[in-house]
Amino acid sequence: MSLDLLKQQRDGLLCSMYNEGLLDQQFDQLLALQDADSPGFIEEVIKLFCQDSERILGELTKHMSQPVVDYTKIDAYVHQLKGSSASVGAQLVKCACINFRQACEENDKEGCMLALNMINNEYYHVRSKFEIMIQLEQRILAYSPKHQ
Amino acid sequence: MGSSAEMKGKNVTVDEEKEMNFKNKLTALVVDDSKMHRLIHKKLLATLGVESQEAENGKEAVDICLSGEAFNLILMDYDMPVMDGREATKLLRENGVDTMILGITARSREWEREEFMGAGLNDCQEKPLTRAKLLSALQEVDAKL
Repeated sequence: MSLDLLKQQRDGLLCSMYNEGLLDQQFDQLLALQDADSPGFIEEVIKLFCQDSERILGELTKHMSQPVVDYTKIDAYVHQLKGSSASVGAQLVKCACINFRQACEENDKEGCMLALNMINNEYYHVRSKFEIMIQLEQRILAYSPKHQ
Repeated sequence: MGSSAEMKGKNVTVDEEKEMNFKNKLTALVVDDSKMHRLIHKKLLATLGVESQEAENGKEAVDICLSGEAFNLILMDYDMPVMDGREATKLLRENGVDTMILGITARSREWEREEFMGAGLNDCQEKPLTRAKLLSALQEVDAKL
């Protein structure tokens, strides 16, 4: 596949992610930080975001399954995930976290369970798109020097 | 000193280049337990021509500052293990550190931000930290030197 075609695919994917609301302008800000000195910057940020998110989601699932839910602890984890998703531009994950915090404030277990499901859905949705994006980025990076 | 635009190696407008040309060589300390946030904030600083160090929690930050290292700007997260940003900021101020400290937090409730500001911050911003906000803080620091 040609370099131009790869870039078209990547740009098309990004466009669709913005249109779906998966990403907001914060992701644009991160893209602008990637340069020749750090060609793997975006990939590393996404990798760290996914590692953090999956760790937090694991903790949330564990704590929500306790007979007595510690809402303070839950809120602290959701707050962390809110911060990470805001900083990476994962808009729908961030919004889901805001809803979760609301349910936590009200000590609403059912609300928290629904919110946790929503966060899981939104997170795995954006992760699947990020995985494709990273593959395309890696192919673009590997392609360019060979054909100069 | 060379222009920050040259250091960045990017094409920038004349206006952007003007705003990035600080009179002084600035340094910063990035304090956050999240490796992702430290990466993003250090990169943001680097693109503005600012060298930075990092600390994973408030205690590390306090130890670094009280060991004699001086910075022009400290980016301080709130929620961190060992010592949080509020406690670290209080301790730094009590020990005479008058560096500009910019709180960067995911906490959005007004009372939480006021509590953080009350520890001695110069300003507080909700995550994500924007280039514009960071530039504004650096310009303020640069002007006072």
